[in-house]
Amino acid sequence: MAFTKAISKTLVVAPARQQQADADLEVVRRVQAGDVAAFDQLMVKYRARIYSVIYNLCANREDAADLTQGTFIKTFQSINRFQGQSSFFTWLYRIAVNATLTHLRKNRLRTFFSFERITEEDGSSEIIAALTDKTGADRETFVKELQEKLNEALQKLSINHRTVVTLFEIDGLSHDEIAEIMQCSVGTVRSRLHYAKQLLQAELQPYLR
Amino acid sequence: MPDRPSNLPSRVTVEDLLRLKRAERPRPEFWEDFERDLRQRQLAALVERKPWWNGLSASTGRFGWLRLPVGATAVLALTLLSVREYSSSGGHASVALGNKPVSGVAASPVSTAFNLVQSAPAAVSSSVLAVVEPESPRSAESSEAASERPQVSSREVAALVTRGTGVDEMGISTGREPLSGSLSIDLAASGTADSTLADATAHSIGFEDRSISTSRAHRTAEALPTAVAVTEQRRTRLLAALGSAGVYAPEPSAPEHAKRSVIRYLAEDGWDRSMSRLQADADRLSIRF
Repeated sequence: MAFTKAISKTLVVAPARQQQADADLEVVRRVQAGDVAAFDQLMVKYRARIYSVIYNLCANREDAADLTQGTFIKTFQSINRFQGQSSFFTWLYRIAVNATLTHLRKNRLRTFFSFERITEEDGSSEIIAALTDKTGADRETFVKELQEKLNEALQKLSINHRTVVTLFEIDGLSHDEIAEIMQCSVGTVRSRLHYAKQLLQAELQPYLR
Repeated sequence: MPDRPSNLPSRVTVEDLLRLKRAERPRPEFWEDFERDLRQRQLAALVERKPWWNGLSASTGRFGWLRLPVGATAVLALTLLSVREYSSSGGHASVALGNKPVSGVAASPVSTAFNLVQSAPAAVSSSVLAVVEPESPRSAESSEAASERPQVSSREVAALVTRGTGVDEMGISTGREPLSGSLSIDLAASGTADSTLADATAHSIGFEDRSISTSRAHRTAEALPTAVAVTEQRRTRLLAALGSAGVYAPEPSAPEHAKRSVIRYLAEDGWDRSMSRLQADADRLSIRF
């Protein structure tokens, strides 16, 4: 079973990801050997992505900053226990996701949103332009409203569904990577993703053309 | 309506909307504050004291998957051990109470019936043993003979003795279940005043032969009602003598006490005072307070 899993992982993981994992492992070995400053490389490399995942899960930028810092501190404290059985970034993501899920479960009743500003790059401006062109509304007002509706729709999902959507659609991880991070099967990931998209489609119907 | 640019998507999907979330990024200056805060928290984490079980859980982290089966096994073992201990201690107690031979007890050296009478223990079983225990120096030889006879447990003797007697500590027959300790005290009183009762009781509980056999126990059950009747006669006689001398004036019972109070009240002028508060006119009755 473990052998099959390892084979499938080897086949699925892209070469670029494998190179990245090897580079991370090298840095981790240096940190484990006592080169503490090398940990900064890992932090600078992954801080934006970790922050993005946490922010999209909890929709609060202060909490996201706090949890991101906590994730890196915990990673640094337990880096000697990392044995390289999985890639470093998967391990780091798992720490971040688990910390966020614990935080969300603890503060289930306290929901407070604070959003980051949408930077118009990476194709987002085209989508916004397409939407404002059709509605004819004021662009800035429309973007703000859309951001609120989008976050509200995401927060209506369960924590597990939200995590899958965030990791797959927003952060661009593969099904296998998500399954490894969430410690569930790939089928479960696909099922959750499908269900979450259906719910989001129903919630965001006015914005879909 | 303005012309649509050629690079705009013709159809907006959920995936497109979710892609907008990627564009929600903090400003560059945010990361400066982030790094500064992170350094501070790292330093704080270094000096922060951790509870001792953190190190324990960290050291056993490799065997974390064993926690559940090991814990379940420990709980099961503890439960089995407790049940076993409990059942074994309960079993010993029942054996000690149920199977203790009377002949072994009969070997205890208590010389006279008067000594027996002076001891008035509270527990039923111990007092019955005290009744059985009195022995003369002949007890050594009789114990050997007793070992050949059918053995009767102390519990059976207690049942026989308490069933036959209906006397309480003052020798007065009551409805409640009599104690064998009460029997001892009553025997003390009767031992000096009424030798017949003492003889009958001593005979009934097997003092003559210094041992108890099954046939003796049956005879005990038959003789005890006689002893109770004698006790009743003696009690009546004594109460009558005390009453005639004016020494004994039994306290009246509750209904009798109430009856006396009513009689005393009606005999005094309290009734008249009460009636004087009532004033009857032609068609009305007024009460004065």
